[in-house]
Parts: sequence; structure tokens; C-alpha cells
Amino acid sequence: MKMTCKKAEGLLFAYQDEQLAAPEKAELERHLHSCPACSARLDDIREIGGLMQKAAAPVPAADFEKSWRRIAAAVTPAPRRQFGLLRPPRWALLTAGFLAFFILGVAAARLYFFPARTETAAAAGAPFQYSARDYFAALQPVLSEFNNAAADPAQVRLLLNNLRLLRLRADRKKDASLLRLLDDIELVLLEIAHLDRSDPENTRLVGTLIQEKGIPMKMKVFRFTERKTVQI
Amino acid sequence: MNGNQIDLVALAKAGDRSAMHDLYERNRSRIFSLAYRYAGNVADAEDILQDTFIKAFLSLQKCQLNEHSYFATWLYRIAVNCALDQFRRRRRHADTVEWSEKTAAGAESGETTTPEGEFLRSEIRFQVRRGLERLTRRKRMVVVLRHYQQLKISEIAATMGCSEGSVKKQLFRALAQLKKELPSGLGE
Repeated sequence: MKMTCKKAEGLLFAYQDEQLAAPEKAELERHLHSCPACSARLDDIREIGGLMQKAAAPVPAADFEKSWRRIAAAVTPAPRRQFGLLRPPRWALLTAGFLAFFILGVAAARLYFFPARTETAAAAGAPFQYSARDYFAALQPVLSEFNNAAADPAQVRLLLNNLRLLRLRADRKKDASLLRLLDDIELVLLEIAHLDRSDPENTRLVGTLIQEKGIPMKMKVFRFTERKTVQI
Repeated sequence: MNGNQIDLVALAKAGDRSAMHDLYERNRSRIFSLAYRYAGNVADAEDILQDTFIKAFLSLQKCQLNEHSYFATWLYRIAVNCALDQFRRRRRHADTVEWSEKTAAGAESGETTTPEGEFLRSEIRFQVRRGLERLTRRKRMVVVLRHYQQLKISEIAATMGCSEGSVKKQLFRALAQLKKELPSGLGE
């Protein structure tokens, strides 16, 4: 079977490299003798190849050591930090971050929803935040511990002072129910402030007064419904 | 295949600096020769050489390479890609004239011939180089690998990551283009 030009073309480079087996080589040579196009193609390959060889200038010397220094610098990993071995594991860092975020969030929410009392600011004449809820929270232990001889009279005086400020605010807001409650509280606080604890009968009467006025229950109801801060 | 060379590749994979240096010393001349033939000047060839080994050592740990024979082919392939990238950058900066002038002047040959012979050789170099520069970057690489690096078709195909048929086709087209552009009777 005669070799086609397409097949001959595919064998030309292998022929040039002397890689063909003897029968294949003989068949290709027969084809080249009879096909001027394929023969011219082989001549072109040889001619251009020869020119390339003639044109090849020797490869000049390179500064291989300088190149190696650059390569070595580029492939060297960055040095570990001095305390790299003491570095905590990733999960510990993540947990610590989450906890810090949680604590800060709680603190921020607490400040936003339950502002701290600032009596010192009030004393300086500056406006301060005072919530009725906080007031009742401070009042609660005084009412339950009024018969205790160790009760702090200064705390009772402070509650009386703040009560007047709260009343001013309630008056401006025309909050009649709060005003009535504050009146009852003032009455009780005045009794506690002047209480003679040597006579158990006095203590009993104050306890009765607190229960009759229903102050603990009213405070609970108020704390449940009233959540707004009173600006004084 | 040399067992010592396999060990070198394994050690280099583990980050051993002296093994990397040994591999560099064994392969640098071949890579530099390819880079110089392709780029045409020492500065660019050194850049290609450095890029090739940096890429090779950085990606050595990730690849599944474990035999030196494959390492050499793989390295050659990286060098070809680096050279093609370099060519693309050069084309962007339109900075290819320097090579031709330098080479035409025979500045780097260092050969001792008669003045007439040297003139003729310079002329051939200039014309061939100009012809090469007009080829596409892949055709130019195929020609360089074939005629300067003396690679067989199968080796070129492995290096460039394409089929032998594709290599032959590109070679025929490149040679036809060169024949058309080179002055007739240049090598006579």
C-alpha cells in the first residue's frame, strides 16, 4: 500500500531525528522520491533548521549565584514569631472573642435599658436619669428591714430626697396613680425615719401601715408595667 | 534514573534547602539556555530562571512528584510557561527591539572568525531573530525547543502539555512563516 502525503508529513520530524524503524524509513524514502511536495517540505525543515543552528549564538554566562540567592529568599518561609509556640489554639481565641463580645453586649444593654443612678451629677445641678423602677428596687430592702436596728438612716433620707424629685416628675406628667403611691411611700418613710425601735408596738404599727397602704403590691404592679425612665 | 536524585526531590519537598540547591545546580544550565534562546537577553533569561525555580519549589510540596525524571520534565514545563508569561509582559511593554540589535551586533558570541564570516553570521542571526519575533509566542516556543534545545516532538508535546500532532502542525506553520520572511539564499 502506498504511503499518503499526510502520513509522510507526520513522519518527517521522526525521520530527521532518525527515530524511524527500517521498513518505515524505506517506505518514507520511496514516497519522498516520488512526491516533490513532501520532498520540498523536508528540504524546508532542513534548511530552516540549518539556519537556526548557524544563527545560534553561544549562551552567555549567567550569574547563577545571584539568582540562587533570590530564589532561596523567595522560597524561605517567613520566620515564626518569637512567641509562636506559646500562641493559643484557634478555638481558644474564638471562644475568648465570643465571650468578650457577649460581656460587652450585656454591659451595653444594661447601660441602655437600666441607666445607673447619678446622684453626684444631680448634686452638681446637672440633669440625671432616675427611674421609678430603680427607686422601688432601692426602697424594697428598706421596707422589709425597717425594724432592724442596723438599718441605715442615711439611706432613708436619700430615698425621701429622691422621692421628692420623682414626685415633681410625676406631677408634670399628671401621673395620679404614681403620685398617690409616692404619697404613701413618703408617709411610711417618715414613720421609719422617726421610728423608736425600743418599743415593739411602734414597729408593728409601721408594718401594719405598709401592709394597709399595699405598698409592696403596688410597687410590684408598677415595676411590671412601668419601664420608662423618668428624666429629672 | 538516579536514586540520589529521587532523594533530592523528596528532601526538597520536605523543605531541605541544600537539596533545593543541588536540584538548582543540576538543572540551572538547561533552564537558562532555554530562557536565553527564547528571551534573547541575559536579564530576561535570569528572570525566567528565577521565576521557574521559585514556582517549582513553592509548588513542589503540593504536587505528587517523586521521581527526578519527572522533575526535570515538570521543571521544563514550568520554565516554558514562565517564558511565555515573560513574552506576554514584554509584548505589553513593546520592549523587544533590544535583543535584535544586540544579537545582530554579535555582542555576546565571543567566537573568533574572519570579519566576513562574523558579518554573515550576524546577518543570519538578525534575520532569524526578526523572523522568530514575528511568530506567535507558542510557535516561537515550539521552534526554540525543537531547533535550539534539540527536543524530540514527543518531548515538546510533554513539555507544552499538548498532543504531538499539535506540535507538528505548529512547527510546519512556523517553518513556513519563517521561510517566507527570511531572505532567500541567506544561508548560502
